[in-house]
Amino acid sequence: MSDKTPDWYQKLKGEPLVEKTFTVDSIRRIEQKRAEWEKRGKARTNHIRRVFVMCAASILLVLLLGISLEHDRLGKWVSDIGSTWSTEPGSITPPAGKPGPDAVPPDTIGPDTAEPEPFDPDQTETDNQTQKPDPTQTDGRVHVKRMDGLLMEYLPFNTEEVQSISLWNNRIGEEIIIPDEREYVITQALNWLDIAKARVEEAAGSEPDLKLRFHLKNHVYAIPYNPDNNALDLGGGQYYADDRTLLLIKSLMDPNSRLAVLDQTLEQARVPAEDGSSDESKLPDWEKLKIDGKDYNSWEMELKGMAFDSETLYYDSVIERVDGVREYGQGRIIQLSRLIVFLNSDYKTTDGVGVGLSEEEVLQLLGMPNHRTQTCWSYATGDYLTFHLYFEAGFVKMMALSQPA
Amino acid sequence: MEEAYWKYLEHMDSESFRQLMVTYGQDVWNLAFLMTKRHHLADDITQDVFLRAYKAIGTFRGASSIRTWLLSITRNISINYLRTAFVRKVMLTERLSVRETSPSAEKVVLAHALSDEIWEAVLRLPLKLREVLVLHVKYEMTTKEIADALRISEGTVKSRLARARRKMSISWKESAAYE
Repeated sequence: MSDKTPDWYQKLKGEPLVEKTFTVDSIRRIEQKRAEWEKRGKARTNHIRRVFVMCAASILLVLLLGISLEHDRLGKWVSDIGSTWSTEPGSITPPAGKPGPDAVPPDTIGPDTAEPEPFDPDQTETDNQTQKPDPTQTDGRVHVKRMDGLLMEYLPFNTEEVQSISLWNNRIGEEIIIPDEREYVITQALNWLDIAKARVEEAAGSEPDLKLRFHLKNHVYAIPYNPDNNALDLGGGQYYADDRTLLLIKSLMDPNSRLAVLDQTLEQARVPAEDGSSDESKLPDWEKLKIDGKDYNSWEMELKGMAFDSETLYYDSVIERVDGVREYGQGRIIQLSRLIVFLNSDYKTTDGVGVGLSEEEVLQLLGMPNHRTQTCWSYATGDYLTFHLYFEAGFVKMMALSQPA
Repeated sequence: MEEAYWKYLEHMDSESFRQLMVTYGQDVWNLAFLMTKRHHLADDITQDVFLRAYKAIGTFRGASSIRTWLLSITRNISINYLRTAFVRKVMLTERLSVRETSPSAEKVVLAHALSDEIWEAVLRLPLKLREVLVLHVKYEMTTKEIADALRISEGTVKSRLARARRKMSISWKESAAYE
């Protein structure tokens, strides 16, 4: 990039429109919206408070009724318990500060609540070698009780202040550091997660083995992640992460899986070409960019009618709904958020461009791409790049159609 | 108001909220307009940006300036607006109707409202190049700040900026040649 500032730079410092567009009226309108929003919030709080008071009153009433009806039996039961703990020979009195026999075990994830595991002499040497100490024991657990809104507003930390992110696997006691350049995948997924819309209806009951750990300057927060359903456990419930989080974690946990390979290919394609080449002056004939005669929208419709081999749900923050990463035809097609990927040479453009072709062959058939990164050539239809070819060692590894946006 | 004032704010009162809008309202609106090219969308986005800032001010820790923080929110909300099916549909319909009636209709409307012809060239840039150029030149954000806001690498920002400048220079020279 040249250091010389072009003469038109100065013109861009000014206002783009002749008239002032953000006026006192605009301010008033926003203030009114804020007032309405606060009023709704207070009404909701009052409603919740009323419901809570009514519930508490009902429970108290039931208890009082029960006590008055069962007074005699209750008295006997209380005296029995008293004698068990204090007078029965051989009985154990719980020491002060320790839970009684029916106490619920402490939450082992919450900050400072975990107790160290007692030493087990029967544990094998191999176990001791592979099972590293769990560093998540003192992590702050993210617990979101809200029922709506964007997660960014309720996280106990600011994602801008996260210094690093790691993935802790509790099952094998290993921690993987998420590369710096990929951290945005996780932070973006968290920030734009809509608590009402991304909620998992039937969440798995058990605690997931994986935890995403967010390292801040003086503290670490943990969010359990379930790879089976691509869900983040936020304490109050499970919420679908986005499709790129699913791909990234697949890439870290199971690097040879189809989705992991897809993640690595897409990530590599993000790296800009050294010359940053781009030429949008010549647009190819959009008919040439159809795969098997279909553009993105037609493929989307077609796939709706096809049976998929597998589906993992994710939350799409752009269209604000839950959708699925789906694999069709034994992995020959993978559908992601606004991207349909073709991994097999069965699918071709009208001119025969498909998986396996060399760069030279593609150039002959389609001409120069409108945008190029180190491993990806993209062609535009109208204002948008919609047809993409991903290369490996000079040959097309996969093709993709993206939704114009 | 001092920059530090916003950094330690847990909740915004009415006065601070108004002050925030008075100070940065036009900046936010302009960016929303330059992203979406639509007046009514810029109005809606500006409203959403300030309501979100009002709700989330407690999360602002001053890693960037309050202006940069607001511009990042504006950019993200604008992208969300542009990507919704509704907007896509409206834009497609507009594009088709413009194509069918007069190829320069949209241009004529914009030209009347724009303060300088240079903005026409900016608005003709593809979105990815336009946003980087506007954030860098108009809002004087550094490539690092833009990379953080757009969640892309600094290298990508620099590459997009170079392409945007190249396109702008060509486009600007062409329009000057006609005069």
